[in-house]
Amino acid sequence: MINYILGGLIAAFTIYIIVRQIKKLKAGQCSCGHDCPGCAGQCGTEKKE
Amino acid sequence: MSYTFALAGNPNCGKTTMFNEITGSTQYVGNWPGVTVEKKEGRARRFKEEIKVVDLPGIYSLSPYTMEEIIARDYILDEKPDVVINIVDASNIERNLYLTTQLVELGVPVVVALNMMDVVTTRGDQINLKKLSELLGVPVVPASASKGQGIHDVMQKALVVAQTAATVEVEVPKLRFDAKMEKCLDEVQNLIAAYADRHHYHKRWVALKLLEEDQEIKKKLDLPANVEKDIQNCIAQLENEFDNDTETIIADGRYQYIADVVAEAVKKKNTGSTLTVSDKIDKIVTNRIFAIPIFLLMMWMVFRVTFGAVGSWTIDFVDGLVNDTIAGALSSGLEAAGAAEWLHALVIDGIIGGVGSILVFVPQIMILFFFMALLEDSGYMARAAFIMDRALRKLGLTGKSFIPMLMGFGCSAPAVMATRTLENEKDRKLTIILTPFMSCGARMPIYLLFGAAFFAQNQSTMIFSIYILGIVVAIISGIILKKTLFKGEAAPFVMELPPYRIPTLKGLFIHMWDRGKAFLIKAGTVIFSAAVIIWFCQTFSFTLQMVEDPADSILGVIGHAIAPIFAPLGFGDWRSAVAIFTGLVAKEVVVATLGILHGLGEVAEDSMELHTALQTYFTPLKAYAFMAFTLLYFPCIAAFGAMKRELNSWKWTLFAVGYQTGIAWIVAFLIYNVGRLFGLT
Repeated sequence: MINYILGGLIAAFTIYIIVRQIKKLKAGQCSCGHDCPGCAGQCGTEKKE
Repeated sequence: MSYTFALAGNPNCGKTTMFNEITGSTQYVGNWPGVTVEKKEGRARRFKEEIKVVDLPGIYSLSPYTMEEIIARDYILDEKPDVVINIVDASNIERNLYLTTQLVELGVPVVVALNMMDVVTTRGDQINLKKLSELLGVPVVPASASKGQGIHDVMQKALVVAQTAATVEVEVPKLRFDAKMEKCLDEVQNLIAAYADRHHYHKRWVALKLLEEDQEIKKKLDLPANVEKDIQNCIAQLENEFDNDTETIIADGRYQYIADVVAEAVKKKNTGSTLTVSDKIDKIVTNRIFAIPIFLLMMWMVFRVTFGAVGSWTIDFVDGLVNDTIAGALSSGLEAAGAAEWLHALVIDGIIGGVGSILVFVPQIMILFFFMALLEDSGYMARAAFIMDRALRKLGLTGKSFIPMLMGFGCSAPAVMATRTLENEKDRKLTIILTPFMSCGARMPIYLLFGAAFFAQNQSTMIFSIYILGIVVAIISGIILKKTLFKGEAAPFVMELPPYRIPTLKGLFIHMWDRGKAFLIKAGTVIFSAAVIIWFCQTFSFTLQMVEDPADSILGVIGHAIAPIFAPLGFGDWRSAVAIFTGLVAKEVVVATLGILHGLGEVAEDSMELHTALQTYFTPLKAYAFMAFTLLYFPCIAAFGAMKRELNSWKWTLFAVGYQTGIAWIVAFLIYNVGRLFGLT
């Protein structure tokens, strides 16, 4: 049972992250919320509104 | 009711600090000009009102010379915020008031926030706020954003002005030019009144812009030929009488007015010396001979502390925590729960091995960012750009390129975006191509892993040399490309050196934490997913059968296929080839891949096991060539996306990444083969 639950969760999370990253790259938007694609906040900034 | 407040001011006058204080944001603040390239928005609730706050890029004037000036001006003109809060650096009031005069001319409601009043008080200078307000014709509120002082008063005054401006006509600016100029201004105002009204622009400001021959405004108004001809006659008449161009005549008028205002409202303490503390420090650190050695020494010291005893201790601690405590607990937990072998391998080898191999370096990365923030916030990094400008200009490059490059030490993607500040298209393209050569934070785990495995005695010096290698390759590439593809004069670079400031501990920790947090988030998302996929590809074959030997896996097949490309560089093993391949996604993945391929979570009690595994197919020379290659080749998907967006051309983007990868191959080839000629291993 644990194999299905944990394995499924890991697979679902992985797919979710991949889809989210592709969407962000397509939209030209960074994970930190800026208009730059994909630095995931390593620019040292955070967008909070 | 909701209001919109726009923050406008000179570069490095403390706008973003004020923005953060008002909105509670943690937007990046740097003690150098040009941090805010695009406008940023935030929200605040003050005095029971909903307020949208817009942080505009730093500008010196409202003339459309640069991208930042166009963004700021268009926003104020077209979006019509309820109030423009003009942040004025009180310690440098003469220069800052130039923008103030232009904002007041626009006829929009303005509140002057006289920032950095603490510096004025420390210097012993005095500013008569009431007098200043009278002379400028707008409210003036003292503040010290970095200390959180005066923000409440600024917001309160801005709200009052916003509410009043909605019902009362904004006061006519106090600035008056020479009588002949005023006469011409009146004439032009009459000519364009209808056109200005159509756009809801202030007539006097439009007239001034037309006399200055502002092409943007001309285009927007779309004036008929006869009106344009009459304006040209006015311009010719003025230029004839003053023996100068109208733009200079108007600027002179503004400066004369500012000089009068300052003479009446500001009383400076006579210190007997014309040199400030910043000037005295600059005499040493920007000295023609000592500047570059001092810069290199500073950076080397930062690396020495980061990768010395302090850094090693943190690595040992996190290593034990991740690879021993957490991996051990998870392994026992999975076994107790009856997890299948594949799930156990996925969690321990894949996720812990991949993500854990990155996490061990987070503390060291945070320490490095702490020191970088210290250099930035103190004002030294702005000097670094100035020093590099002097060196770069001799080579035909512009020093303005160095600012995006400095940002590139954090992350290439926003650094590529920061090239928007470069007006010259050729310089901009060139800078986009060169910026990824600066070693971003994501590459750090690679250097830390290989540094510890092969250069334990002089790790900090070797990693420092990799950073310097990036700068040197960028300069040499710059010279080559400037002489071939991007011929032309380097655009002049004017940069204001901010005064040295003692950074606040809070500010330094915010910078450090922001970047450290970003690493953790990336490890928990992108690196996590990459680790799962890499584990899958190294466990299964193309026929989706589990394999005994990873060499027969999907990754193994890919690795063996591309390994010959890297054989001349010294690292022709399929595992290093695969790490380079997966590193295209993000540079941290190079380390995560090696961690997974060597079963870090499973076999290693700490990352020493990974070091030993790497030593079976790397030598110090090969390791250094590998570090150089990973520094210089294709940056990552995110930076690639940013480059495509900024270059707006597939041809140039593919050329850029092709050039970077080609250079990486050549440099690594030279390191390995020249090293062997000298008997190095």
